[in-house]
Amino acid sequence: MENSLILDARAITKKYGNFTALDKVDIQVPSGIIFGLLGPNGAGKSTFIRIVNRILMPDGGQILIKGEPLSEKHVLNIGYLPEERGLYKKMKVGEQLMYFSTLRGLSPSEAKRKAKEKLNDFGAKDWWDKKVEDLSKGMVQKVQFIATVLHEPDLIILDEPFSGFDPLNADLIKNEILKLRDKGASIILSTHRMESVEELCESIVLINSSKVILQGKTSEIKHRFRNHSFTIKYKGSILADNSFDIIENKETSEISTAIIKAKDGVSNKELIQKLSSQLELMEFSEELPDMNQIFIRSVKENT
Amino acid sequence: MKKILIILKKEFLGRVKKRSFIISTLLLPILMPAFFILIGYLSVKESESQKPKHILVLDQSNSFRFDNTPRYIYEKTLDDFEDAKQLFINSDYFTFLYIPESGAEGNPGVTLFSKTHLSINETSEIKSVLETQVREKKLKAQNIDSAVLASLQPNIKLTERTLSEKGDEKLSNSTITFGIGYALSMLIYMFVMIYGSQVMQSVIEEKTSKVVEIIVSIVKPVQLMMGKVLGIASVGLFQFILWVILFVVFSFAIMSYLPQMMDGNTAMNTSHIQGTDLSQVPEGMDWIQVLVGIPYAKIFVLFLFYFFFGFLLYGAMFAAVGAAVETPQEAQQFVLPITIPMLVSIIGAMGFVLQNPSGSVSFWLSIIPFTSPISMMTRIAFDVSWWELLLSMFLLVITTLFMLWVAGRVFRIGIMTQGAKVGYKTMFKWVMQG
Repeated sequence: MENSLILDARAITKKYGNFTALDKVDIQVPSGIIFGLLGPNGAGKSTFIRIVNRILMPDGGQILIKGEPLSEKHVLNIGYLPEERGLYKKMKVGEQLMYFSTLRGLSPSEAKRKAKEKLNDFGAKDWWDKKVEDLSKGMVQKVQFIATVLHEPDLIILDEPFSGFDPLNADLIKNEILKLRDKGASIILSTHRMESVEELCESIVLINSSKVILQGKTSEIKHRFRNHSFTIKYKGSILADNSFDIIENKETSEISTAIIKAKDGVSNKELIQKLSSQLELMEFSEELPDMNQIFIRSVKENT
Repeated sequence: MKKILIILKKEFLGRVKKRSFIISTLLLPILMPAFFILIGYLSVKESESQKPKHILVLDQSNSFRFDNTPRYIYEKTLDDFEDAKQLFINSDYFTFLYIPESGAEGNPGVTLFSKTHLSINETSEIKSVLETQVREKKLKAQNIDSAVLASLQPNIKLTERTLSEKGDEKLSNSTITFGIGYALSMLIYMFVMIYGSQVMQSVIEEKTSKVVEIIVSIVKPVQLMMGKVLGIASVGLFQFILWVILFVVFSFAIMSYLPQMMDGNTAMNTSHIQGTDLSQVPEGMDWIQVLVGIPYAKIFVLFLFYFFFGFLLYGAMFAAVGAAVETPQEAQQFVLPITIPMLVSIIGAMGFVLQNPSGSVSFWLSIIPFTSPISMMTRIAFDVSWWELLLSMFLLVITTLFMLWVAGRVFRIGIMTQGAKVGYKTMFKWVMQG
């Protein structure tokens, strides 16, 4: 079951009047990984998330959760942390957590046990009777996160989970996300912070102007976007030839560094052979584009 | 259904457990009578503590007698009119009563001068002093003794009895029944206004605090709306039931305390009051018979019915408004049209139902669903026929269901709409939208 899909969105279309928010979007989220849902503002990410949460109905297409058509019973399988999140200010933390999880279908005793457990995990043991309005901003965000994952959903959808967190709490949430993944949950992470995508996401999808423009494993995508540039460290001197161009070169009397670009059709092996015939090669590494560059490049190419 | 119940429970407990709810529920039944007693006490106190007012009298007809009362002291002057007027202006007399020579019979030319406007009480008291004396004089001229006249004054006490089809006779008093019905319809009005706007506020709050995004990912908007409206309706009903219990407990406490103060043989024995020998019941016990004769069960059941459906009808509208707007200020323009039918029915209860309970205005007010919850409650005092009652109830249920559907459709889209200025046109579009 390793490769089965937790979420399979097929040809999802959503229109608001004349505006098409999603145009036959296909997104496949494998089980047990952290999946990045990327795209510029207004690309349709939030619409997609709302459709998965059944807040909006798609005009066309189908959503499958573990192979089954999305239905009401799946609220217990999904945990959703919206970008604009809120809690009832006048309600106590405990009551609040109980309310959300019993609404999702947990029994009151189960909800209570899990809520206490989770508060404990987050070092918030004595918050049960505190009103939300008396909590600090960071504490409120923790409670929101707990409310999202309390019912131990298989699919967790986090919309900009790090926004508003200080670095310390952001790190705590990041570790929590990793822990959840290790326990077998699948996580869809919608974010603009490419460094967290780089760090966390095994696969991504990139939506732009209501269409999917890029989808796959992060490592494969990076591979696909490489432009055959290499950083090399060497002793001696370097000369461009028919297998590579020199983009940048800092020659010193000791160890020199250069960035070179292989010509089309030249394999890494050939390149290394060529280089070795010229100079003493100390280090050879391929320059892979970072997600930020990929994001900007793809979006620009598609608009 | 289960989700609606969870939301209902949350809305109910969240309000009932509040200190303000407990205090207002306990204090209102005590405060209301206390308030009236206080006002009565203050007005008595004020009239007691008032200094007597001095009235300057110039009686050129020389035919009136003025006796001082605790409130008014009459001082006669023998000056001529102009001097007396000057005297009044330069003094601190309260008023100046001028009776010209021709004024022996009160008219014409009897004038009351004052420096400020007089109250109706004050002018009528002085007027009655004059009238009494003129009447007495006229009676004397006709040789009629005033004691004889008093004995001729008719004094008819009308006993009201309703006759049911089975021939049961019951002492009734539509004034008291109307009073109860009116009080209950006021209660419906109050509950709908107070708790109805709470529905709206809580929707607005959920929208602005962004909780709604999570909630609607778990439940359908319509479920959220139903849970809210029903939950807050139960708060109102719960408060009403608490008041009934408090009232009964208080009444029993007073009842059990009163007989000790009363003579032994007037102690209440209600067991045979509804029996056939009504004639033997002393006259002073009439009001008890009337109270016993009131169809409490019918009134109570109808109250619950009209309260519940009236609240759902209006609560749904308030919920839809709450979902469509973003701030309470924005909601005002929509709230006014909602409250107008309520006001019409409250005013109609006094203006039409009391004057002419079976008139066509009263009839239509109690049939049209937007006014019927209040109007029918006041009309039932006057024995409404079954078909009217059933028609009114049926229309109310149908309209409420329809309104819940409409409100649900507005709610469904409104709750997720942000930053847009919403008018009636937009709401209508939402209702029609698939």
